[in-house]
Amino acid sequence: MPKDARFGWQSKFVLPAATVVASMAIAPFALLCWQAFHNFNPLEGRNTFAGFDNFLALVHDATFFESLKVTVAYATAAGLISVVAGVVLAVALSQITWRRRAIPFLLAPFFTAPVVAALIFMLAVDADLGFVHYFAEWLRMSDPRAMLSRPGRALAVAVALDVWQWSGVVGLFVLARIETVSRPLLELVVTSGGGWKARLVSVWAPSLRTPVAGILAFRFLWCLGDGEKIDALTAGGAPYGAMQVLPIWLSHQYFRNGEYGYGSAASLLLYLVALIGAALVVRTLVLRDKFV
Amino acid sequence: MKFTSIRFVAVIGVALGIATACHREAPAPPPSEWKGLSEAARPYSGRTIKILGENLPPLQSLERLRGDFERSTGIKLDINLKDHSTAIRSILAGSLSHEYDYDLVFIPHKEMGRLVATDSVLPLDQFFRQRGLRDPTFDPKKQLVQPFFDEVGTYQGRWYGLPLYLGGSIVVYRRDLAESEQERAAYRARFGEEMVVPPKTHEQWLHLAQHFYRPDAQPPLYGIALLLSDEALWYEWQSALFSFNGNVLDAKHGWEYGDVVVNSPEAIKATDFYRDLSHYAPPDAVKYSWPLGIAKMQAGVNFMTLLQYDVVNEFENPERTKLAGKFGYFLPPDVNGGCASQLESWVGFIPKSARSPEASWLLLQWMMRPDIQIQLHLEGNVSPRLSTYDDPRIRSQRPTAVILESLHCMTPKPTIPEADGIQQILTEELQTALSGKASSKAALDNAAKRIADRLGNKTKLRYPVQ
Repeated sequence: MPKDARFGWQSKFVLPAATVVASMAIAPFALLCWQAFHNFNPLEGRNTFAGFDNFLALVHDATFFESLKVTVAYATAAGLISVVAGVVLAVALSQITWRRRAIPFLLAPFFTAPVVAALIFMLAVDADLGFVHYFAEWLRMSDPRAMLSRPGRALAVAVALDVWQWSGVVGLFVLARIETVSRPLLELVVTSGGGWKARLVSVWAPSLRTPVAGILAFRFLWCLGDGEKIDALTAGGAPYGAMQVLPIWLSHQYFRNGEYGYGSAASLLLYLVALIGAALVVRTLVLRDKFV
Repeated sequence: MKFTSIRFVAVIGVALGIATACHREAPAPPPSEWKGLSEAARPYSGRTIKILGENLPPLQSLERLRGDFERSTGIKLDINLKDHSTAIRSILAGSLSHEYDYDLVFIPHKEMGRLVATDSVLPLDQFFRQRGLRDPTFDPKKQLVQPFFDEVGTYQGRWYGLPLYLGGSIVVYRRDLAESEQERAAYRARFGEEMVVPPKTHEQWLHLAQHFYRPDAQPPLYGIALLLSDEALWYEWQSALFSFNGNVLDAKHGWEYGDVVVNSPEAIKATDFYRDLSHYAPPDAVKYSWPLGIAKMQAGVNFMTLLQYDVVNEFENPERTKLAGKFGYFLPPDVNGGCASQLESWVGFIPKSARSPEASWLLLQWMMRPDIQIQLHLEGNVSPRLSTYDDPRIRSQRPTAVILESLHCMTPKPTIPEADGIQQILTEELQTALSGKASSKAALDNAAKRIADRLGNKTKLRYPVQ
């Protein structure tokens, strides 16, 4: 095949895929950009060019920054804890001979629909019907029945929900990596008298570092978009909007206020931030051939 | 040649098949004169009316009576019941695309301005004028509660919808506890006065919440279940707002723009009062919306709750609660010793893209018939038709007297296209006031400024903001 074949007639085979990409990704993105620079509210019949007004309004919007703050806090905590829990789970399972039988149990929470999982947790922490307040009373927490009515506790419940759903599947990925660690290397450590700690430090940690970093980055980006289960868990961002993460905030801008221009400006800004984040991950992990 | 002919015939065949499949047979015109529902519906027999609305007693009662309509007309009903927010989102999304998948939608009347502004619903007077489709005994302006009907069914003088139910503020309370001699004595000892139920003043109302607030009891009892979740807060707070003679816009009708008065001294007092009440609410009231608030009240967790009376049947039906028969009802007191109530309804609108708008109209008109209204009311709805309350079975129901009492103290809410935006602004600002991040005055000043900015030159601030 000539070296520049990709620019020849063969490139026509790419046209169907290119058409799909253009209609499914580029066109909506172009629409998003157009809306971001317009004062566009179809429900109120407004549509005028706004320049950077929507972006400037965002800078002065306290609700946006509150929402951004809680989103980042949630994504960081949920991402980090679910990965740490997953790694601990995987390392523990790797020591057990019947680990394969545990796999369905690891995956069950993940395959529970997010909204259903949220409702299960909502009932668990309910002031009257739930059981969590019994533990809270035992721990002598103040106001033990108020699990979702304090911002910090509501955040903790949301994080616990995400960790419950995701740590198993993260553990499975990590376990798969552990299983592929070179047997001779492991045996070398064992025969040279290295115990569990030596295996962790000399074999597993170096092998797991890069994939775990990748999973962590993926989990963080995933959690940024978690809206439906937090919406179901906190009835739209309770207490008093403190758990109104960005997807909920955006859905209010679009569907409740009809502020498509304003919502699109925020979406575009967040898209650019996510793009930079993703580029950093790719640059750090993939381009350096570390992500294997 | 032969192959080409076969291919040609195949292409024509496929095209004809697709055309036949897509073709919707135009119904025969309705009769020129009203000859009864069955005759009027004959051209639409065999069709299905797809309906969307909220999963609460009013539409559930229609679900139970659907058989009567289907037998009379041959028209099938496909009733889709969704939760509050999902129903509204689906309907508003349809108003953008003008492609509803529904032939009849029930949505809060405050959304009417949006639906009209986006030209997505049909005015109903066009059906009312057709003699073959109009039951001559039906006259909504005279038969439905007024000015309720004008506010929820018409917009700037044009008729767009028919109310599913009559809605207004109501307080549901545990009558058995309020009538207990032991409780009355304890109340007297604590406040130095007799327990007054229904309360005549805000102070008496607050005392009731305070008296029955027992978070450490086993099981706990809470003074008042306020629905403090994001979707319900604005509705609930308005009951307090109107009871202090406050308002959001100073406008006579929902479709009018008036001065922004949401930061008036009355509104600030109302918000302070609402915040005081919230101190006696259950610890997880911040996630209470209607279904949860009703369920907790049915379970006896709270002494009272502030609701709207489309759900009163939930407390009278022994199949729904073991406490049926032990509840009582009162209207929020107003500052002048009278009553206060907000005017509210989910209203049936016919989308422009409805497949059989005439059939949808016939259903709406059938629902308004006096006999059907009585049946719907007995099934759990709250009838918007005045004659319904003459029925002795309905007159003897416990909530009826309170509902009728409220008719003269209902305050309309904005139905302008920006109504949802106003709701969102107020929800956000009220959340800052209730969470203690801002004083009531600061929160309402901020709300007033944001609402004025939102409405632009259509309005102005009446009270200065700090």
